[in-house]
Amino acid sequence: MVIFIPVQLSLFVVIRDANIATARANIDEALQVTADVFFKSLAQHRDSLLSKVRALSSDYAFKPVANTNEHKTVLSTLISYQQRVDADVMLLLSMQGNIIADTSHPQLTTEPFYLPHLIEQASNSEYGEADSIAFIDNKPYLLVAVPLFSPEPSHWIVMGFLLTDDFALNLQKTTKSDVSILFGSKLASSGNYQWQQLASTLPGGIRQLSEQALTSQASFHQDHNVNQHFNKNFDLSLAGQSYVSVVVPIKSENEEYFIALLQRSLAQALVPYENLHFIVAFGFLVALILLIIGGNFIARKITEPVTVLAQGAEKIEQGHYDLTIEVNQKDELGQLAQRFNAMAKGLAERAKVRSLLGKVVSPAIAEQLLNKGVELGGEEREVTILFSDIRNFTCLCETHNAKEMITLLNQLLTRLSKIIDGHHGVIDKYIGDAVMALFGVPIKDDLQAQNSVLAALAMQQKLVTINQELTANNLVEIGLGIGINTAQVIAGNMGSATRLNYTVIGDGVNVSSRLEGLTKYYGVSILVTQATKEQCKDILFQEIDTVRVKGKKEGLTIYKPLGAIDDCSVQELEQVAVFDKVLLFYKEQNWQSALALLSPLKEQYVSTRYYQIYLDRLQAKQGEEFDKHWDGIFTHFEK
Amino acid sequence: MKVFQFTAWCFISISLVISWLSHANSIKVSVVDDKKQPVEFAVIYIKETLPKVSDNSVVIDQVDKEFIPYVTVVQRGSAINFPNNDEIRHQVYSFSKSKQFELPLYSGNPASPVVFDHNGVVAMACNIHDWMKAYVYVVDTNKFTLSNKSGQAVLTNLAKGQYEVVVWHPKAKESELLNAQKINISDGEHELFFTVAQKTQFKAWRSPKSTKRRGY
Repeated sequence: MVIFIPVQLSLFVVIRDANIATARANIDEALQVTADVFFKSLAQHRDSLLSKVRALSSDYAFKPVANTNEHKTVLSTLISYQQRVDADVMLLLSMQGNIIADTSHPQLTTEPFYLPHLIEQASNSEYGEADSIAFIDNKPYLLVAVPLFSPEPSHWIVMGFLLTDDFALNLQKTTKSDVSILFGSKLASSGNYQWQQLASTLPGGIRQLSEQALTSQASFHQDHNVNQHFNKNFDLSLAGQSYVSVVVPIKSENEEYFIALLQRSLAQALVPYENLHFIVAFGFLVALILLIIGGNFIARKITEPVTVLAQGAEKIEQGHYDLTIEVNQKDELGQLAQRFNAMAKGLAERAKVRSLLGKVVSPAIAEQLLNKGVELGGEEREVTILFSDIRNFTCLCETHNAKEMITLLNQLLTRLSKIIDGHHGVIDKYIGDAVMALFGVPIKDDLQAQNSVLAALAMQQKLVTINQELTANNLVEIGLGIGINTAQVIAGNMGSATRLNYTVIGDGVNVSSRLEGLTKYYGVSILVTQATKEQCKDILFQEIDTVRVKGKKEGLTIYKPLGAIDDCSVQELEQVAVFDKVLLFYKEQNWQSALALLSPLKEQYVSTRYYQIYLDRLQAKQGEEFDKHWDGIFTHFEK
Repeated sequence: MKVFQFTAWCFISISLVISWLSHANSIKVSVVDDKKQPVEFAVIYIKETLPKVSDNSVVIDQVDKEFIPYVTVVQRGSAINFPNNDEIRHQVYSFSKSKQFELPLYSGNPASPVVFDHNGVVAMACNIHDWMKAYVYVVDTNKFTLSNKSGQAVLTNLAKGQYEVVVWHPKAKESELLNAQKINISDGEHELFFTVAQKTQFKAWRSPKSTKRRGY
């Protein structure tokens, strides 16, 4: 549209200009033809006059009449002849140029001819003939003078043709151009030219305007070399209408000019082209309408769907997959929209799966599954396995219905899981109220052990808050037992080809589960193996025992984490140091010394369960001999 | 008729030569125009007044739509006959002051000759044929002659004495009085030279030779 309209408009302008140029060229040609016809017509009239006068000068009936030189006789004869040949004036002059008879001035008898120049011109010419345009009584005549031979030149016969509107009209009939005859003379006062109209074909309203227009035209008014503007086309405005005009000189003498002003109306010349203009304008309008319709069609069929698609793509970029694009077309764009919708649907499903997967499995595993693809098999990895179990949860179950229990459990598990997530752990599975979490898979984590211990400590910390809430709701407080072990296990997707899950298998897994079970026995909340403890440089641990768990030959030293070393109090450090000594004596079977150290500790920390356990063991061993087969490992037979 | 004329001319010529030989008092006249070209048909005569003759018959023929001769000099009172030798009729007229006459359409010999009893130029023409022109110059003397193609003529039989010799020509610019010379004749041969300026003549476009037409 932006291109179309200017192109069409410029085309229109070019056509119009070309038409005007053509019209002007036609006018120029027509005016040239008119000028030719004008002069031919004038020559024809002159020749006609000459023929008539020559015939008269050879008329032997006229010769005796002329030679009578009788005014009345001659005048009567001239009037008669003038009527016969349809002339406008006739004179008979003596050879000396005196009037014998003049049909325009019957009273003149012997006076000198008032146009001596005509006779002078004839006298000096080869054939004794002359023609001219001159005024008689302010009327313009085409005049010829021919000698009368009898047989010597004895008289001048003068005959004239009045240049009237009829003459101009006859020309107009032939040439279709407007013809005006004007006389221009210099004003004595200013030296400027003034033009007087003598005959014209211009319509009444603007008829007299031509002389004013020409007089007001500077080149024809003030220029003393006015003749240099002759035969050159110019525009003359008459009553607001533009006429292409040309001035051709008929006679110039003594700075007086008889001219013909030949004109053609530009507006009239352009009439045939107006149809063309109309057709072009109509074509332009039709094209414009078609363009608008076509533009709308394109907008509706192409631009709009593309915009909708672009908006859809933008939404998808922002993660809004639940959209359907409405493009009810059967063309390529319709197909594209259908594909787009299918793609959005696919993306939505994928997002749904991802979201669901994140809920079912840990987000890190879900990510790995989605990115690396799902394939059965695993790899041997060092993994820290955390087992936690809620204590007393079954007591809660007794007083609450199942729905409330599940809600509460879900709330608890959610909060605990969040802490695990926060320490880069992944939830492997929920087993009832128990949680199995992995650290160091699937993404490798150099601080996996420390992270797991810190997570366990944080979980215990959270438990305090949870219990405050439970108490506030008149509910039984709960406990949380956590066992942590770091071991080489097999990690990967396990199960069947159609149903599998990411998990770890190996002895190390069972160990952490056993440790969780032992927490209750030792009356601690967290127990970790030595493998885990050794990777936690910044955490203070209290060795608890060396145990042989079910199905294991080797002893397993277990520790209770107390917290970050920097955060531990002096009492805690002292307590750890003292108990370590107790364990040392214990292992050396120095029951006496061990008991001596433990007893005050027990008195000071009455509620510490494992102090009681060791007190009981030491009291039982009291008095026993050194047994060199005793390895100091306490065997737990129960699970 | 032509044979007769030729014989007559021969006779006259011979007698002129004889008379020139016998009368030594003569004037040899040469006429040229202002371009030094010899002028034919110049009338040369002695200005004197003699009683008019009554019985001098002269002929101007009309042959092949031309007057022959072109110029004729006669003594006042002479009669001229205008026989028409063409098969078509002619109408001869003159509006000259010296003699105005008209011979309405006729063929053959007109009923009577025309008598020229006034001195001066008589220009005549045919009303039908515009180019047919002839001049009769009427003088008071019998001492006149016409120049030949060489522009020469001889006046003979002149007695001793003072004379005024006048030259006229149809195309002369000035009046014949201005073309006059005085001469004292003694025994023997005299010579006079005349320059006759030609006046501008309008071309007769109406003659059969002229078909030129002008245009704007």
